[in-house]
Amino acid sequence: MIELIGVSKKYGRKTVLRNLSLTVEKGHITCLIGINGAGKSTLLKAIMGLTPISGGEIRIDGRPIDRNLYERVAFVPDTLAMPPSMSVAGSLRFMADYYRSWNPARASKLMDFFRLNPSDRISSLSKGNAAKLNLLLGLSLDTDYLLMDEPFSGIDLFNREQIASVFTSDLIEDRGVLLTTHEIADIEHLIDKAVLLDRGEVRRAFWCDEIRLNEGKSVIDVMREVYQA
Amino acid sequence: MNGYLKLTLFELNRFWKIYAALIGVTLISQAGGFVYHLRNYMNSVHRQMAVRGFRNYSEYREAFRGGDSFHSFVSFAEPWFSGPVVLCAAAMMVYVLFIWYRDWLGKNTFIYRLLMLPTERLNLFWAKLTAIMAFVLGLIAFQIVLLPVHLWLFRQIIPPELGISENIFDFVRNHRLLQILIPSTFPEFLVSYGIGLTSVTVAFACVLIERSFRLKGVFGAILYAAACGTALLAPNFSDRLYPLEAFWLRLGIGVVLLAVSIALSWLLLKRKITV
Repeated sequence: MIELIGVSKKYGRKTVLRNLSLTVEKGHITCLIGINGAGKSTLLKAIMGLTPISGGEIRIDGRPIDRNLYERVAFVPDTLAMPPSMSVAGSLRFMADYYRSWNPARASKLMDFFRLNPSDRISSLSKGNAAKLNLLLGLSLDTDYLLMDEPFSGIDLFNREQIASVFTSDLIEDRGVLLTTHEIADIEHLIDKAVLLDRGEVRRAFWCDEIRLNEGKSVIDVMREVYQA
Repeated sequence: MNGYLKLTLFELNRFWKIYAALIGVTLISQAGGFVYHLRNYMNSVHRQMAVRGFRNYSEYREAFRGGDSFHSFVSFAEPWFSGPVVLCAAAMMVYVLFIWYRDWLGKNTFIYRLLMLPTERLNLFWAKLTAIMAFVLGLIAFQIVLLPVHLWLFRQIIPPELGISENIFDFVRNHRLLQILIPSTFPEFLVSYGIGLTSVTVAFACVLIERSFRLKGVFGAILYAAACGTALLAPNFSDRLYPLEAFWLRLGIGVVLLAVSIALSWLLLKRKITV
């Protein structure tokens, strides 16, 4: 379980995360929802040790963040984090070189599924293909947790469907997934838990099935209640 | 292979095209400029011989007992010789900063991946530092290798009968750039390359200060660089020190700055760096 306990983050005088606590459980898809500037990306970066926190504590399976974290938690940022001059095959080799948790068979399967050309240069990839490669690099690590920052941002309908299909596949099963998205309508049926963020605070966190069964509301209904109240 | 070696090889690979271009420019400029001036010289020798009716080079040599040497020929071709050396030095100075910033700049922010590698983050620092030092030493080594090549070209074009001095060591000792780049004693090597290594680590620390604290970091980096520069130059301003004392003091300050910059970089990479 990923645990955030009273996490705060400030950029100068601006508070981006305010005493924020939440958990991400294995085997579930948790979605961070919030408008731009709500602190979603900062939260993911803080979990990955890519930005220091000003207060609180982050634990992965009860342990604080260390370099071994990167073999247990994969992060798919909102940009493809590979040099533009590298080829698609080169980026796979790079990952295989550094990560013990790299699963080449899964990478190869995903290359076929996403129809990516190994010889293409990263700089020449379309936005959709760059997003697919980005996802492939994260999914091909045998990690317990997967964090994704806006995996559907700026992607056309068909590519979005292809990426969304990954969430119902065995590629995600048993992992704890934490993702941020603006396109909640596309994946509402896929997520298990929603966390609504506003100005760095958790306004509401709930299990989607429970809210549907007990209150007959969709995630979007709850968002309306929270953000338009 | 451990993370440090993998990252070092990766950094070396990333720059090889520009590096090969620098080496190519150095070779073409120095050898080309040198050959051009040697040929011009020989043309003027032949003209003089024709005008004065000399039958061989020995007669020419008797008539024009000049002080020409290998060194003076390179001096004629100075812009072609020193130009690429200055270009390589400038390229390396820029790359000391760009080796970090290239990972942050552009559409694909590679620093995300580098900071998420399952290896000590300080290995990034060591790999980049090793790559810079390897590039610098490689360029110097190439320059040293080029000197016999120039001497060979010289011997191909200038007939020995002209009796021009071929002393390459005099040339290295007297050339204002080469005497810095190719020190003749071990203490000079320690000072030249020690200052170079310390300067690179200070520059790396400055980049990491800026990347960690952004706008505030710019001021912090300028202050840190100024403080390190002042400390390194301080022994030069004291006239109470003997040369040997100044040498040891400079070496000591260099070692302290090196250690402080490495420790600071380690701390920033581990605790403060922000993507």
